[in-house]
Amino acid sequence: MLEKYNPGEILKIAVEVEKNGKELYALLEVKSRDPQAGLLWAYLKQQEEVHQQTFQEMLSNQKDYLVVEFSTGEHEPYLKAIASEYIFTQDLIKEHIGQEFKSDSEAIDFGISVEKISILTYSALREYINKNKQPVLDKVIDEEKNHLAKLKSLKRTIDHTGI
Amino acid sequence: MTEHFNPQKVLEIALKVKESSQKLYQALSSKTADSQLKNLWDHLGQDSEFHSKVFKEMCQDIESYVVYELSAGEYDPYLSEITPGFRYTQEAIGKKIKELFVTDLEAVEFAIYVVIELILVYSALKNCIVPEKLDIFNKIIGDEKKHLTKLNLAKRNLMAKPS
Repeated sequence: MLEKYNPGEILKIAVEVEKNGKELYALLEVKSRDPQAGLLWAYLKQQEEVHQQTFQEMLSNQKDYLVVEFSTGEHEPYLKAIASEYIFTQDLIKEHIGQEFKSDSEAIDFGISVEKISILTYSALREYINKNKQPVLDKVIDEEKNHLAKLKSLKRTIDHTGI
Repeated sequence: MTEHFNPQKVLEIALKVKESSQKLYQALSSKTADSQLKNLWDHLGQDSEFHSKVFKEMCQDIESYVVYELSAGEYDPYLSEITPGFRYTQEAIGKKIKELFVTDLEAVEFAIYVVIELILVYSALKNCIVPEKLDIFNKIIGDEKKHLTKLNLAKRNLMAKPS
């Protein structure tokens, strides 16, 4: 049901996505054949742990973080659509926890798709966060952008070396 | 080594992506048996044509649109990291124009992938646009967000259909 994707629900999903992401990256760290990829998965695992705690804090103190009254304009359907895509991603992460990737390159592609949808979801959610708390979310968004850049860089290296 | 991408190069790729997207949406519109989906592809095709015209104008008059770089490499490194993937998106669209898709759902999912890439790249590029020209650029980002909303709805409708 799309209707349930209000900002509070999105925070709940974010906690779950970060938690599942951490679990997936921990598995990839162990399974990776490329040492550079192994280091990156270990780093991302730690980062997801921090993000999970951040979203849990936001979820537990929603009244401090979420704007109580906001105008429901053009942004709301977009937030719902992006949240729906985010849910599909969460399901895919769970699938991949139980099912290995064929190669490091395929795992990195999946990591890239998770980071992309996370950036868009958190950026859309930002509109509903109190101004004084926006820096908390901005830090997470910047870190996700950094993860995306690192994954893309590693993808180019791995595709070049053919591992 | 990361290739240095300046905003002009990114805009040139954006123009090519939009020109290719327009062709892809035209091909998808002529192939689908679903009238609702046909309307969606037509709408996306028309918007892509409009966006192409805007990007063409921006590329031809780059100094009026893009903030001048004071020193080499000063532009956001994040933009440089995500741009190679954007070029890959353009190549993938070109491939899909020839091959097309087995199902409507597959086509919609590919279009969502493209739109997510566009929103990410345009949002990063926004920091390089001169303030007086931001309105037209924000309109394009807003259009892409609306596209994502419509495509997500189409995806959920197709997934709900009995196979």
